[in-house]
Amino acid sequence: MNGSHNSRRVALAIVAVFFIGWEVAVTATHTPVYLLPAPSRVLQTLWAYPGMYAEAFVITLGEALAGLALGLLAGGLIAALLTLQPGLEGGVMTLAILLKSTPMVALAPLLTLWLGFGVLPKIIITALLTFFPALINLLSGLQRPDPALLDLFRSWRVSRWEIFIHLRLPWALPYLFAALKISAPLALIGAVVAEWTGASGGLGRTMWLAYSNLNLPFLFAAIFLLSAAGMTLYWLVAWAEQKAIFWQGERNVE
Amino acid sequence: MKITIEALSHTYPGQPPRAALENVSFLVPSGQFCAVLGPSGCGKSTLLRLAAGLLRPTAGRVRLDEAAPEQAAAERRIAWLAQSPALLPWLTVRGNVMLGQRFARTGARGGLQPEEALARVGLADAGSTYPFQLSGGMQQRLALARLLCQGAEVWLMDEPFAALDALTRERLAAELLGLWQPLQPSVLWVTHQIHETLRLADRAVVLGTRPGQVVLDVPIDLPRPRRESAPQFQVLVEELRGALGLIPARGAA
Repeated sequence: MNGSHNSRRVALAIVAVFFIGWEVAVTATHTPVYLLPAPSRVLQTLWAYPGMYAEAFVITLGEALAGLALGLLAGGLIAALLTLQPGLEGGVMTLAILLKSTPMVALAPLLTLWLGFGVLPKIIITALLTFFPALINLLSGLQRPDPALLDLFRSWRVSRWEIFIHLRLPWALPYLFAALKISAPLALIGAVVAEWTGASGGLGRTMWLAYSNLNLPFLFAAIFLLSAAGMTLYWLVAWAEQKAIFWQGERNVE
Repeated sequence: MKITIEALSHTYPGQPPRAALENVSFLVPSGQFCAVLGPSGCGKSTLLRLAAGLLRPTAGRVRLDEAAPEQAAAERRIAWLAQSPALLPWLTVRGNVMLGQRFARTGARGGLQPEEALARVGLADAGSTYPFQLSGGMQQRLALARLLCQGAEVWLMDEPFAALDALTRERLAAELLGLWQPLQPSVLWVTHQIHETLRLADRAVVLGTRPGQVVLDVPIDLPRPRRESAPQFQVLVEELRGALGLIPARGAA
């Protein structure tokens, strides 16, 4: 407990030093606000427009979470399919890598063109971005349980389905959390990138408008919100992981 | 249940192919505790995996009574215990034992109830703890309790105590003997420990270096509990050491 308290204090101190350093540097060098606003100025902006930022934040967070859920679901289902039908792995993984290699920045405007300025293209882009880490991690977990446990189940001659339910699925739980730790912050990026290419609301749109007008305090306020949300999501996943995988003891994934 | 091993050979595919066992034959009568002793890499674990139906032999066959290993395993007549206790970390101690019972042979005679099995291995009070809270020795005891619930007629054991410290290993071996004696399943026990073999087994089958072949098959007709100081024990130690090539031949430089 003491160790984790200490590391939390160190983390807070590092963040505090970073922001104080930023504030002092901007003030001391008289950097113009259209190049880099001081953190205090950014916070003032946030404070001045709470309603606008809250509305944009809720839209972006909703898109990110919906896309994340969709990406995880698709990745999980495909990983399960490939575990139960290993013969399909070569073909399906080639498609998945093809999809992964397609730049989302190129795909996002196309989806907006096809599906409009609503939330649907944002959810799809986010799902496409989060799907791959989920697939790769869950596939590792489902395909590679402890060989000694696999031997035991095989010595019992239980069906492939029973091995899946009683062994592979719970074994993959730590891998699901490893995927979530990568995918949750990525989901926010996905939603913002999708909004940047054309949206009727959300933090991505706010950022795009602020950037177009060189209103950097507005832009940074959105960035602050996104960073805070990304960190909170990561911490929530880490906390849920601790609660759900208490049985892991010393074993660590990654 | 008798275990018949007939002209069994196994070669692992690869470049070059690796012969693990060559023409191994012996018969374990029902209720016998048979140790398979050999140096590392002599194919003794391969032999056990073939007997469990986890591998298919390249030549020869294994029969458990008249059944193929796959069939005997499907009928849940085989119990498997390896060096790793192979516990499901997300299940409690009781949950792990109940899993053994769940996959046990239906109507198995001699299969213990989970609580009784836990009591037999000294884990009666640990039912609601998790495997990560147990020491290595206790984890292996839990694996034994799970095995007791299965009510199997054949126990296939691959150096189950090899990862434990010497003291725990000796204690667990004595406990295992106490669990085996009233139930009398046939045991195929793979090991590279001479003293452990002589303390536990009714018979020792010694395999030579790869590819494994039977170099000695000797009964161990010593009364239990066995004392290492007994002259007959020492004679057998020397005989097994000789078969394993640990004693240089007379006249060798």
